[in-house]
Amino acid sequence: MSKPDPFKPRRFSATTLPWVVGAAALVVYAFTLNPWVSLASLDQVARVSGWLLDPELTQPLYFLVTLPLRWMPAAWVPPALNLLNAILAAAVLGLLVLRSRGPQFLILTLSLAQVLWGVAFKWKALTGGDDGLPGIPRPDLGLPVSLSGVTPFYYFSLFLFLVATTLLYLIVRSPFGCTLEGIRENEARMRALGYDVWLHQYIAYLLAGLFAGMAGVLFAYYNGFVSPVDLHLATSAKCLLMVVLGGAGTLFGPALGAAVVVLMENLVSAYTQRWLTILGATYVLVVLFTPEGLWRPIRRGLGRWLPL
Amino acid sequence: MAAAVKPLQVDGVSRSFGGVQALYRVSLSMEPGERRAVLGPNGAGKSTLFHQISGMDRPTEGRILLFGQDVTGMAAHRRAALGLARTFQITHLFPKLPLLKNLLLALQGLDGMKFSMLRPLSSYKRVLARAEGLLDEWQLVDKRDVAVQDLSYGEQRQVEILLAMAQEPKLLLLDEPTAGLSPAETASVSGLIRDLPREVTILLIEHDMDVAFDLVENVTVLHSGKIIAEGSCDEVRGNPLVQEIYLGKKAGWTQAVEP
Repeated sequence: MSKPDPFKPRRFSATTLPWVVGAAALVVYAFTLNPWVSLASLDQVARVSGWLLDPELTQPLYFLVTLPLRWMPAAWVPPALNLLNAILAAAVLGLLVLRSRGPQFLILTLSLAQVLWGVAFKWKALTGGDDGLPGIPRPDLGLPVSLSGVTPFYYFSLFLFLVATTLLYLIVRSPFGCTLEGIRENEARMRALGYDVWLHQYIAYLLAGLFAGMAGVLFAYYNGFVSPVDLHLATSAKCLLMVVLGGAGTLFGPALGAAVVVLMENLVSAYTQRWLTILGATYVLVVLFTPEGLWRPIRRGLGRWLPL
Repeated sequence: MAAAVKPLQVDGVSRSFGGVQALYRVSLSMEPGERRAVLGPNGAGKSTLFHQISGMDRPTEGRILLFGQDVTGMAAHRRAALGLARTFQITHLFPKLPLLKNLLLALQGLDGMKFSMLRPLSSYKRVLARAEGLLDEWQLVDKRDVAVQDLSYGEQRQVEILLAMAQEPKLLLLDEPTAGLSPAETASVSGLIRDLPREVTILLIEHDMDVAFDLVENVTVLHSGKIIAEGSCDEVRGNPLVQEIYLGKKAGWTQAVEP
């Protein structure tokens, strides 16, 4: 008979949940980045759209827009609207950035993100400026449990994470996903074969907006707080880091990358102030020893048993 | 029977890049089922002409008609939908993808199912069966799961044509199909082109006169962006200007065509 270890956390949720939730949210976020980096070779940062649009930010607008949304339970409206906004933002940004390719695409996207950050930073009335918007309550979605608790919110996030992963898994294998793969490999040939390359990339961009919006909503509810920093270049860079660390061009690589970054952020920073140094060192090690990311070697190992 | 619609009509097409006149008022037309070669030395404008016809580039003047329809301003993917397929001089495949997937991408290009998002591509039995059938026909079945970058260069050139044929085109543009091949491989690829269905109209760029004359009935010779000779193989072979360009008789070819 073993005695219970007094130092062992009695409930999984109490100690580990916060960062797991964070990881789940960021994983969804990193996923949205991935279809682009991986599939259409456009190192994209479309998730910008998702971050801007937390419920508080869109308060005045949504007062108007909620009128036709009366049929929906009131608490569902903000998240639903945010998703819609994210897609709309992607629809607009996509028109601008999809005119370019490769490095220009990346620079254009990051520049637009910085513009949005600048606007958000200065527009205090809407965004709270430097102070951000604290105290965002989690919505009462009419679920049997309230999402204000840590555990329910964790499972809620996990559920959405699984839904997003499943959808992306299906999309990657679908004719549409294969088309994106073809565009990554050879755009000119795709056009000669009868594909409207721009249209496929635009649809992929909208999808990225949708999933990024989902991650953004979760992130805002998880923290109960958003600030213009979430629009900053540093946030974009962090997500790009997750993708590269895990392995661009794979479905599960960015999930792994996100988990590693969030884990380090939370575990390592408990012991040292210099967690960014350690993150940087990890990144250098990955680039030196497995430049294709962390996931591909693992996948090769698992490949015999799993259809990944 | 009414006169058949011409699969291709190029009408006074010019293309200049800055000061360089790559094509100057080039006109040519093709009859259904015709096989024609565009000959010419390097830099004559052959590939530029192909880019105009396939819609990868736009002419600075002139018109292009496919199957009687003016397509001068039409995007490349829509021309493909009209029944035009092309290959590339520099191999343009999906290098990291297995051969089967290369072929599936070619097969779904003109199929509405390419927009489907939730059903796996591998579950489309109809498309899959066609791909398997084509691989069988082209004797590439055992290479089915090999990434095309790992195929031999000769096989890649063959796949180049296979992808275009998978679209079931009515007009096929072949851009130097035998470029860089050994004599033996050249013979096998020309054999393959010769055996393509007769109803497919073929316009072919070729460097090698002997290969070209073996495959086509008619020849258009392009030099410095202009058509300098046109006609049946024998006519063109006997043309003194062409002989000068190709065989370098007298003063060499640059001088020969200067007005």
